[in-house]
Amino acid sequence: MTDTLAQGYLSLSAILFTIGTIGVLARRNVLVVLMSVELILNAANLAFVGFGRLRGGPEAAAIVLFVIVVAAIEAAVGLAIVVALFRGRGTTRLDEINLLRG
Amino acid sequence: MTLVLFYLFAAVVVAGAVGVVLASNPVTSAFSLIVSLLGVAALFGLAGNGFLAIIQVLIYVGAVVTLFLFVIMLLDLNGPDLDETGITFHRVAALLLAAIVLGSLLSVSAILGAMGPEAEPAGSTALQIAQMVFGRHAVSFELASVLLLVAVVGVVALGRKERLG
Repeated sequence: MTDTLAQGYLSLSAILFTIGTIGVLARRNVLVVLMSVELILNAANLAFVGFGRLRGGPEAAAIVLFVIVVAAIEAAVGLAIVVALFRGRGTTRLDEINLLRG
Repeated sequence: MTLVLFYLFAAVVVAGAVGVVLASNPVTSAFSLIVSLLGVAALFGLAGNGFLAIIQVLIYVGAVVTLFLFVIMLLDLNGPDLDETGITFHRVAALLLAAIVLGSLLSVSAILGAMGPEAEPAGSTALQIAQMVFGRHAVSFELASVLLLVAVVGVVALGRKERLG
């Protein structure tokens, strides 16, 4: 017997992860790339909730809570780096930020 | 009924996510992100995790996206920063890679989802989550608070006008 709803959560998680991957790889604006990273983290959370439904118990929900905390930290640090970059180089385009290119 | 609601919320999530990636203006992207994250919150609620749904709305929509909007307004982007048109090699490569990722993730989720539930499907209450976070995951909780402290110090150091050291 399969759980249609849990299966749906896992499939939606895969689709959301893919959309986030396209955003990270194809967009050149660093703010949109950071938003796409948030999409990817939400896809992971959806997968946790789907597996939590299959396995039962609040373990998955506790891990989702930690993922949300780390995502908030990632957004704060990422945006601080974006602001520092914009101050120094005057752009948010990733292909113009090539300080480390040899 | 639950399945109908699931498809409705899933459509909202996917529409918001596509909006984030396709919108040319970052402000539009941020608002699409709000739509998508609210859809995810609704899906958390649908799975019986009401507490997670509230946390998702408070932290993601209330704090993270607001932070994004603050930074977008602060930077005042224009012209060349927003220009992203044309089919380039790396975009085609990105779509190909994304197709591979989607195929592999969908097949894995089909295999794992077909194993069937090991327990009666149930959500989790705030009490259960708290017992888990402050019980078995107490060390992770302390590490998360240390991580938050480090992030705060790091953000302040990054935000300073003059260089450190």
